[in-house]
Amino acid sequence: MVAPMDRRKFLTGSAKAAAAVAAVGAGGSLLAACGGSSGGSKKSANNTPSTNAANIGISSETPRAGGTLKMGMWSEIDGFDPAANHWDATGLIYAHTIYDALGILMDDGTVAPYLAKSIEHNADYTVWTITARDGIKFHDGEAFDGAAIVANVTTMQKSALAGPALLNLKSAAVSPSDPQAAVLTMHESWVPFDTYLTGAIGGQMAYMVSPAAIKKGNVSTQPVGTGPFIFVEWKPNDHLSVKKNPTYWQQGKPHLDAIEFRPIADSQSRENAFKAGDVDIIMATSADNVLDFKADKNVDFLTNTMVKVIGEPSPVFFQVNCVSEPLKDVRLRQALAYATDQAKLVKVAEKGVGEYPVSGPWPKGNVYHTDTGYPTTPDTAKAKQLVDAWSKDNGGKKPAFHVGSTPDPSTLQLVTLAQAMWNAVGFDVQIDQVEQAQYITKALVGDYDCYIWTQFACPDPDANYIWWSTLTVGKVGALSLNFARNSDEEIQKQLEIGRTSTDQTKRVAAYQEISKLFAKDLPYIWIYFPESGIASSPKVQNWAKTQTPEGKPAANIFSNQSPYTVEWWLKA
Amino acid sequence: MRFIGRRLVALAAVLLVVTILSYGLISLLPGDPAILILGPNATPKAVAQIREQLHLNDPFFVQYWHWLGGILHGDFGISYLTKQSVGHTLLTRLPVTLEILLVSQVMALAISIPLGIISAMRPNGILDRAVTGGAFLVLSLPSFIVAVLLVYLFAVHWHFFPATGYTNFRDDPLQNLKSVFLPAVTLAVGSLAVYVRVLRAEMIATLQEDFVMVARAKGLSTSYILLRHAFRPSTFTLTTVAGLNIGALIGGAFIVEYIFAVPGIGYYTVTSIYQRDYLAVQGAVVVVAAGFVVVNFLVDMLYPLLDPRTRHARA
Repeated sequence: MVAPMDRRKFLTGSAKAAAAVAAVGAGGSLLAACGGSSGGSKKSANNTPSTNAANIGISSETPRAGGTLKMGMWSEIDGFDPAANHWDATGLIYAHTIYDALGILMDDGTVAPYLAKSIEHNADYTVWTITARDGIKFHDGEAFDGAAIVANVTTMQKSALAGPALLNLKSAAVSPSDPQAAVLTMHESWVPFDTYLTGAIGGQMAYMVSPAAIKKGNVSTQPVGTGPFIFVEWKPNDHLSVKKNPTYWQQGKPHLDAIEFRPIADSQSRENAFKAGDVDIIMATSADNVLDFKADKNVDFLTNTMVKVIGEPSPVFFQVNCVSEPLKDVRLRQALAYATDQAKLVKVAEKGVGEYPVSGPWPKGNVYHTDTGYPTTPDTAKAKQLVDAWSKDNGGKKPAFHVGSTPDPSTLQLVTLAQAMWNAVGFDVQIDQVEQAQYITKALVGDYDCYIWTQFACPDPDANYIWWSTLTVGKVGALSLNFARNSDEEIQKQLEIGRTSTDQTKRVAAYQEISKLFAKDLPYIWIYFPESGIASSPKVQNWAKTQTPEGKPAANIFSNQSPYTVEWWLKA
Repeated sequence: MRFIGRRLVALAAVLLVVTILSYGLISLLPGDPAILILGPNATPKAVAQIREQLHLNDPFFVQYWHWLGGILHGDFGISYLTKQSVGHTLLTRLPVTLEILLVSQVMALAISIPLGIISAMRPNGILDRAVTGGAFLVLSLPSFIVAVLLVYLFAVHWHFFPATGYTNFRDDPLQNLKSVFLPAVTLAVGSLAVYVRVLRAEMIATLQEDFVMVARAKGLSTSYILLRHAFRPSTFTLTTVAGLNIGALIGGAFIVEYIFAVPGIGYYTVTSIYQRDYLAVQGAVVVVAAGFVVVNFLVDMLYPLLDPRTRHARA
């Protein structure tokens, strides 16, 4: 969640916050966390129809066993411990390779069991029972059972990273009647809890680690899971090597003998590596990548805007500190919204790659999207009027504030353009360049006026509870997970409905209402939804395929989950 | 020996200053370095632990003393990001950078020496003008432009060499050479133009010395005179420039390794800066700075071997 520059960096800094967040770059975008054009929900998914890109990365041929695949990653992670490390799209691919998630998001927005045999709840969603599949062992020979699930969940609950997301979890214990089952008891109803088990951004608790490895305390560098591939070697910022798990619980899988993941931070170098044949498949994150690959007919290329996306994507926006002078006056926040030209920002700073207009956290076509009344086209006259009104009430002075940006050039370009738009209507805006490590800290303690930001990707909007809740608003100087410090009791009320209601219609209405309340409170000045994708050599097969162990198609790789390397194979 | 002794003392003093400045990096960071290292979610216990571990509660020079003691034993600390030993990581990455630097310098010297000699044989002749013009052209190209051109032509277009990555020599010697070729050429291009110019100028001067005229009068062949009589005394400036060029090469290696995603010290430093991995940056800066100082010390030691007159002068 943070600075539109680099998701990984944001996540690295955000610790507690990262438990349910996704950060993307303003210049580059997220993969798993970003959805371009639709959304879904826990119980329904009337989303935008998919495009004719449905078959890209999915093969109807019989998989061929063998071969080593090389993948170029857009970033490096800080380790493999789901309870301690901060994962972005790269981390989620690694996680799906070495671990397995308990559940998988389906294309109707529901959750199906994956590593778990079943995920069930009681009538009021206060007790969830997760049952392990029989006979599965971790790579170190440890049994995967109810005790292993409990060990993972309790480790998560204690972690500074994931703990805040599990505040509603009262207890976790092995079922007295079934040693394969873990019973999780909640403080209050938690209807969309199972979406946290799909392993999306903010759902790291979904990945099961060997209890013996947890005890050793070296999961960060020596991960042991049940996944299709076994960890071999990790040289940070160089490569991660994994080899086939010969006793994988899904018969006949994985198909590849080994995978080598190579982080190549520079997007152009990554593209060059792909074109030169150094790697077989890459994450395409920059506007240039997207434009180049879209024009290249010899490459299999799929982005988040070409498919039906389930869940919530991460928009890029300006986050306003609602208790900071002078922006605590809502008239000025309205003026910022009216003065911001989303189209120009995307065209100039992102070469037109990105989706706009944006009027709320959910894009058009998403089930939670609604007409919020947010001004998506600039109205400078209206903005000037609002600024003038504020000046009149404040002795004729100009409203002055600082907008924060990380030093990343593409982010700075975006912020500088916005600064010019705002100054043109009467603001006196200065840019503060803030190092990434300080960026999140300053946001957490409220030491900022306005920050370029990106956040909110998740399979279900409930994951944003901690970011939007009045309960997480802290005083300036104290930590506040509600970074914008927007205290709106009506939003809190709607968040509770979203979390506890079993009626999907009510849930949708609640989140739509939140979207409208954002347009009224204006803690967020929306800009665009980024576009990013995966480019693959035609020899790589099934890289976009997602399915349950029983073979039922699941939500696509851009729907807040990541590619399943277990399905990948190489053509001869 | 006195000369060597004096140079060693100077070397030690420079290294000491380098380490103080490198260590000072962490002191210049705004806020509490422990929180910067651990992140905003750090518990008070973890912060206290890291402060204790880094001796941050002690005065600056006490902190520095502890840190210096650590790096003298190869302990550069643990990367807060990867939880891996910075010293060990530097040790695995140093050979990669050294190989690229070495190969680039071999290439640069292998090309520049013959060209410099040929140019000096007939000053302002056609060959000399062509070489001089070429050298100016190459000098005007920044390394990142050269890198992009090389990648486009030799990797993306013709697929002769990989665009990124590094293969260990022990794993595959041929692939190793292919993987370092483009990064080394990129670095060599800038160096060789300078070397050609320097060697040409010095050779022209040397060829006008009396001992060369004597050699010619004795009827010795041109090639013999050039290689056996004129070349060695003409390499004095070339050696100095090559030593000083190490600094530029290291700077270039940072860019080149990043563009080619070569896992050397440069790539490690750049990615560590982006990731705010301060201990890693600190360790890399010390190694690079120390390397630069040591190389120039060795260059100083070479002078007496190249030109006995300097030996006598110092004596």
